Amino acid sequence: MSNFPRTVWLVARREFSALLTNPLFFVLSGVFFLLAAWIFVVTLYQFAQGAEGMTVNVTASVVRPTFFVVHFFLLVQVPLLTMRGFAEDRSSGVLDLLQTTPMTDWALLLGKFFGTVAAMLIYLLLTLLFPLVTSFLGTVDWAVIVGSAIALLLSSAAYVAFGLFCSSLTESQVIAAVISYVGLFLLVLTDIVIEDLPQAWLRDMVRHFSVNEHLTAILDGLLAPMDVMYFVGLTAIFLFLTARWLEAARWRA
Amino acid sequence: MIQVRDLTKTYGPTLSIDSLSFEVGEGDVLGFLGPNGAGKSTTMRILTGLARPTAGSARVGGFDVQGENEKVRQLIGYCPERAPVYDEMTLAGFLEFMGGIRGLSSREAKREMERTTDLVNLQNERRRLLRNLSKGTRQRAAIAQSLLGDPKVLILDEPTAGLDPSQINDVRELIRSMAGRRTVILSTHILPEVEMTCSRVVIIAGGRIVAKGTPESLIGEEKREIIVAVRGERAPLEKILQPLGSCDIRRVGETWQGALRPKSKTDPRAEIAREVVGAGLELIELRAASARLEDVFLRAIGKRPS
Repeated sequence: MSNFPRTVWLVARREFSALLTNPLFFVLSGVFFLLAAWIFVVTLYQFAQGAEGMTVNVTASVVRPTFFVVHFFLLVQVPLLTMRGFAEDRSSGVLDLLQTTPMTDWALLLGKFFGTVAAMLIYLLLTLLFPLVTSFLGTVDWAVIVGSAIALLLSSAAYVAFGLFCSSLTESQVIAAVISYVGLFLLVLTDIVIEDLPQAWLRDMVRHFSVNEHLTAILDGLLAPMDVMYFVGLTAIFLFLTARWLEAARWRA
Repeated sequence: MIQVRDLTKTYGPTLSIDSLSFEVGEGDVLGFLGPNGAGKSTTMRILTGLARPTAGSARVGGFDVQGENEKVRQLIGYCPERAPVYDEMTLAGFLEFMGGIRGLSSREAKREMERTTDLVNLQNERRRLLRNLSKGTRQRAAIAQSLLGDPKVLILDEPTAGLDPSQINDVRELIRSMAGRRTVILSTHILPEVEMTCSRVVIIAGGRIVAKGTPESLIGEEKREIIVAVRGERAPLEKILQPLGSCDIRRVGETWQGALRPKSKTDPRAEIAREVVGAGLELIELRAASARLEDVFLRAIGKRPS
C-alpha cells in the first residue's frame, strides 16, 4: 500500500508522455485551439464593432461564449484521447503484464486518469490566453474567468473518467470512442431532449443529470457546491465503475 | 513452491483444462508441454491470477492464487506469450517503469534494468525505442521484464517464440542458470528446449495431464525400438518380428525395415540376428533406437512417433 502513490505517479507520467508523443494529441489540441481562437477573434471583432445584441460586458459577450465553444471541443477531444486508455493495453496484452505486478487496479486507473487530465490541462491552459488578451482591451470579470476555468477542469475530469470507463469495456479503441461520444452527448443534450416532456416533475428530475444545467452556473462564475459536487460525483462514479469492471474482467477471463 | 489441485476451467460449454494436479518444488524448472489449445496458457493465466478457475485450487509460495492474489503477485515474474511492451518507450524506460510498479525504488529499478538487459544481451539496445526493435528483441525485452526484482517464481509462456537460434540458445542458458535458485514454469512447443532446460515435465493434451515426471524418467519409460533392415522378402521378416512385440515394416529403398517395440525387457537383437540369417535374409542393419522426449510427447498426446 505504501507504494500506491508512487505507482499512481509512474503510471500517470507514462500516460502523460504517451499522449504527448502521440501525434493525435497535437493535431486535436492544435486544431481545436485554432478553431476556438478563430471564434474568439470573430466574437471579439463583433464586440468591438458594437454588434447588435451584445452587451457592454466583454466577459459575458466574448469570453463566456468562447469558453462554451472550448467546452464543446472538449466533448469532441476527450473520447479520442481516452479511447486508448485501457483498450490499447488490453489488445496489446500489456494489461495482462500490469495486472500480474503487485500494482493495484486502482493505482493503474488513477494513474491513467491523472495522466490524461494533465494532458488535457495543456489545452485548457492555452485557452486561458483568450481572457488574458481580452483583459488588454477591456475590464474582465476574473471571478467569471476562474469559474469558467474550474468548470472546464471539472467537466474535463468527468469526461476523462467516463472515457476511461468506456475504454475499459472493450479491446477496440473505435468502439470505446463511439460509446464515449454517445454517452457524453446524451449527458450534455439531456436538457434539450426533455424540453418536450409533459410531466414537470420528470423534467426537473432529469434536468439534474444534465451537464448543461450545472455547467452554465459555474461558467457564470457561480460556484455552487451542488454543481461542483455534480462533476466530482460523476468523476468518482465512473472511476469506481472502471475499477469494478477491471476487477470483474480479471475474474471473467 | 507451486501446488495445483484438480484445476478445471471451462469457457461456456468448452472445457479448457480438466482436473489438472501437479506440484513444482522450489528451484525446479518445469516444462509445460502440449499441442496448441491444450490448456497451457489457461493454466499459466490461472497461476498468475489473470483467470479464475471454474473448480480446483492453485497455490504459489503457499498463497492461494485467488484469495491471496496480491501476495502471489509479489512473488512472480510473468512473460506472456505475445511479449507485450509499450512501443513508444525506450527499452530502459519500459524496464524502469515496470520495475517501479513492481515496487522498486528509482535506483533499484535502474540497477535491475541494467542487470536484466545484461542477462538477455540487450545492453546495447537500452536507449532504443521498443517500436523500432525486432520481434526477437522485443521478446527478450519481455523476458527481461519478467526478471525484474529477481522474483522467486517465473512463469514464461513460450519465451523463445520468435527468437533466432542464437537467441534461443542464450535464453535456454539463462533459464538453465536459474535452476536450483528460482522456480520456473516454462511452456513451449520446442521439445529439445525442455530436454535441455527442464528438471521436470508435464505434458497436457485436451486439457488433461497425459504424462509427468523428469525428462529422464519419461524417456526411460518410453520403450526402446529395435530397428531391423533386411534385403529379401517381407513375409519371413514379419514372421520373425511379430512374436517378439508390435512392429511396423515398411519398404526403405531396396530393404525392408522393421521397427519393433519388444514385449519383454530382454534385448532381442541376438535372437533376431540368428533368425534373420536362418531364414535366408540378408541382414543390413540391426540397432536399438534411443527414445527421445519427442517420442514420449507424441505418444502421450495420442500420435505415433515417426
